[in-house]
Amino acid sequence: MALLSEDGDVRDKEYGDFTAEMYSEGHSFFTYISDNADSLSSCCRLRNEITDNEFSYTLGAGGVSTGSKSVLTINLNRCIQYEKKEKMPFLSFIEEVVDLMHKVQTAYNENLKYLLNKGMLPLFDAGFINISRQYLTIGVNGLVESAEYLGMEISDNAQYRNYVKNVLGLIETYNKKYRTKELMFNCEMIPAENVGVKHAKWDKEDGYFVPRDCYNSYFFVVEDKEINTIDKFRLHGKEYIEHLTGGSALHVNLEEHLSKAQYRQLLKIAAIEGCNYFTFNIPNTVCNKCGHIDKRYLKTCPECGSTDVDYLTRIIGYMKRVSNFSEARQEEAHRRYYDNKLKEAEEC
Amino acid sequence: MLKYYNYDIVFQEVPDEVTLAVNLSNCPNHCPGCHSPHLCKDIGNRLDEETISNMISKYNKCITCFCFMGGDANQDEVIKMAEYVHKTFDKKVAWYSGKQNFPKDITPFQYLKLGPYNPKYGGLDKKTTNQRMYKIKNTKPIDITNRFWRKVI
Repeated sequence: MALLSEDGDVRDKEYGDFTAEMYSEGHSFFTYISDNADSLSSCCRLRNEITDNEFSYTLGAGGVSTGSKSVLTINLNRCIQYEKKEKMPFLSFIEEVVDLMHKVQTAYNENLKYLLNKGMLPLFDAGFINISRQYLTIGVNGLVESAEYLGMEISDNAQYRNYVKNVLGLIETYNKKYRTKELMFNCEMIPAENVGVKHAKWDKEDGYFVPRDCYNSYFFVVEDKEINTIDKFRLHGKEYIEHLTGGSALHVNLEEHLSKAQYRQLLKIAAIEGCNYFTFNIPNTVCNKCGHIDKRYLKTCPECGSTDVDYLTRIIGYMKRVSNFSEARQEEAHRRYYDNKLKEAEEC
Repeated sequence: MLKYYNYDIVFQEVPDEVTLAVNLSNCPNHCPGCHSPHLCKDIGNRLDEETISNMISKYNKCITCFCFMGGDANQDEVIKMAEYVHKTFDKKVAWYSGKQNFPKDITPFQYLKLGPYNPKYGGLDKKTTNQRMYKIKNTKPIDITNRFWRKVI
């Protein structure tokens, strides 16, 4: 869904209602909200492509111009600790690495061009994707962990906000500096399904401060119960995402599907906080005995009564069995806070 | 004086609302099987007009409802604070009470949950529950407990 926002709500109220209704019926999709029509360009491109009968093999919003030809990721937690250990000025080592990353990406692009000239990239030649309209992406991982190392509280506070702005702003400065007619850079907080685990493992082995076995893919600590749903929208709101030119979707984990009125209010919250890209995750139940799939989060199968059930939830955009996650991810999934009821509420 | 232990943004307690729910301590009910027995203790910080105002200001336009969880030891004070929220902010007001009967003044409330927790009958999400959720419309309580019973999507 793509919605234009205005004055703390979506502009097209009827379309907002429809979006909320679709969420309340258990459908799973991403919503893109912006107060600027320019930002809807990816959706317009998607529409254009459909009329032109084109197809994009790249991830992202589906447009040829939104894909990445290369993602290179910086482990911020390790870098911040290294520079502190070496008594280097704040963010100076990160700046060095970011500069190097742009050089590596530029070299990678030269390799791509070389292969293209030799006729080795048939998808480009066939016009499915366009080398000059794709991004070279600077991926970010370990942001939350680096802030934790520096002793910050991971919540909406001035210190953390400024830190995020400084780090991501630095990357954006270099993205602009290295931009040419044929090189476009963007910055993305990567989903880090695998690399979040690897970074944690490598850093632990090398004696760095590692607060969890899988680095976060959000601006908040995914297992922190003190961070409520509105806080999450705020922490993925305009103050935090302004330099994330490649986007970052907020995944709001909920225990149960909400009503249409509640989803409608959440769209307002997104508009108020300036959170432009988000979705809701409610674990689906899959029965290992009879194969029944239910959109609710259940302990027993409603079809055959079996308690041998598994859960499906979204990981990097796709529904996947929790039991098929990597080990560290499974643990993280169990710790994920599916914003549940205050237990005392109905029992008091 | 009311004291609160913590607060949260919740969705399941009050149907159709995005609610800031504050957990009050000093609960006198001591329901057997209570999942939050710590709330029976005299813990937490004072809940007065100022603390409520600070809480609501933090989430102002984002929330649609403010809910008092408990507070049965001092019902008059809950009603007083509910009046304050109702008159000062453009929010609905809810109260989760463990008492069986309606409070003496229901005018500041748009939602009222009544009844102690009884493990034999279960919480609001069980059809066998003894607890009731009312929506107050023009000072008339309408039983909406069935909104808590799981719907199939």
